[in-house]
Amino acid sequence: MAAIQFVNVSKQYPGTTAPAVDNITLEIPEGSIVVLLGPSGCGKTTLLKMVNRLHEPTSGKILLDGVDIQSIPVNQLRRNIGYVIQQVGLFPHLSIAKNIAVVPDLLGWDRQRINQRVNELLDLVHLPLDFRNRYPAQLSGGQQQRVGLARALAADPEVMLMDEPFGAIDAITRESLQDQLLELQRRLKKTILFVTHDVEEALKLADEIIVLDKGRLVQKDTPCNLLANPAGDFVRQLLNTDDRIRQLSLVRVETVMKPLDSTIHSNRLPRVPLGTDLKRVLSLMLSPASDTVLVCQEGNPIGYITFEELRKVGCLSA
Amino acid sequence: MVDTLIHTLWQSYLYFLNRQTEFWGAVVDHLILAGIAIGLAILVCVPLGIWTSKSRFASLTLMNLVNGLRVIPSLAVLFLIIPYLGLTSTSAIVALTILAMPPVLINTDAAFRTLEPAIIEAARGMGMSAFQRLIKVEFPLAIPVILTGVRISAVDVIASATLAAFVGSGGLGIYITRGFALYDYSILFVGAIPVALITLAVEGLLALLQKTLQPIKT
Repeated sequence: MAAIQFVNVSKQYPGTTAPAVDNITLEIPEGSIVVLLGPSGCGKTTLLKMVNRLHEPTSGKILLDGVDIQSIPVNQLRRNIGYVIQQVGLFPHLSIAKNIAVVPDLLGWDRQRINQRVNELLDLVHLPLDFRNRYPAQLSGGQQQRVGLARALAADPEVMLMDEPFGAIDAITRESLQDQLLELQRRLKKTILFVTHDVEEALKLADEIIVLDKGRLVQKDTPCNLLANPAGDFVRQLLNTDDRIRQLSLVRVETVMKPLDSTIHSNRLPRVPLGTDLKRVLSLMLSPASDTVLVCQEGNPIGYITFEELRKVGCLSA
Repeated sequence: MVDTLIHTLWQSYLYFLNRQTEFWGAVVDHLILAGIAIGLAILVCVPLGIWTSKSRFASLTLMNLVNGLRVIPSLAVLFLIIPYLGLTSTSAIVALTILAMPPVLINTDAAFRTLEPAIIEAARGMGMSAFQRLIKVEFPLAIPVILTGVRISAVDVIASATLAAFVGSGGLGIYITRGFALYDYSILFVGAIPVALITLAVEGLLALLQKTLQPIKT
């Protein structure tokens, strides 16, 4: 079942002539990262914030695991959804440990369980345990957002909403945070709705990208299909498909690979682990002149990519 | 000139030595009057300030009302109240409370209005109720700015509590009125100098309190 369903959702702010979100029907599959992509004012943040009811739709409804979110008490709903925002919004008067513990605290966990969970989470986001007693102002922007991520994950929610979480962070730190999010996601399998206006970020993180323009859904596709078959000029312009190698470097093998079948049996094929980008795959194909590369999970082949597949992603839209 | 001043101060000191019981009683009265006024102002204006920061209606009406009250001198307020409450300490306390209210109200309003929106959004997004947000997030972050208002009030009120003597409510003002009546500066100083010292001391203590309660550690 889809984790989040939007059914004919529209939102018009009072005093505006055009709706911010215009009749969107959409399913967000469980356990995947779905990126809402579009220029500012396209309605992506509004759409996101309707899921935890920071905004209420003008019409239509939103279902969470099949349940209409209007039927859930609003604070209970929010405590069960992880929420990460661009400005981080850590509480400056609370220690890092207390910041992370906010939702477990609201849920009434006992002290020992909270303590243990805080340690787990610091570990999960690669922060040292002695950060527990520091304060937000003592951390760098990247470290603060790691705490923001830990805080959102604290009560182990099924669904995470991330509103341009890495938008205010320098490029190098941003990349490492993106890598870390992917690594976390491989382990945790959350349903993540992620808003960004950064195309490269979308290509890199998304299992599926939803392109929005003026509140309307323009295209919903995997990063590869989006690159290969952009639906119209708006998407083509947004993706700006000139630097194909750069784009290949952002797309991960798991979004392209086909499951292993009996036609593939060479043990001498080059192998790459899950999470490898397509640029790396391309260079492997170039060097030993192999048309096929195996994708492995913990050393065992689980799928393959052929040069033909790669070409579809890399140049078809030209 | 300097000789005269030193002589007057010496006279003041002797006057103080001769009337220690009365003096310390006046100090206590003074502090109680000022304390009650500041306490009442906090009790009334912190909740009102939270309200005005969140409601346009409250902000328009209350803030204008209070700003209007500010232009009336405390002495005038005192004399306006006397016909209703008589020559009592209640009159003095009402006048002083009215004096103490505006800085507390204005600073509380500003404190809550200038909270960082992202912090409030995070608190809402995590499922804190309005009351939990207020107690756990908004209030602790607002305290330093509110205390600035309390400091301004405290200085005003401690200085102005000398007016209480006009309505026979004691306090260090008794030496000032007495000094005026007898045209004797040395008596006037017995009231004026301690008031200045107490004002400075309270200002310092509140600044220290503000520093300790500063919620944002860097």
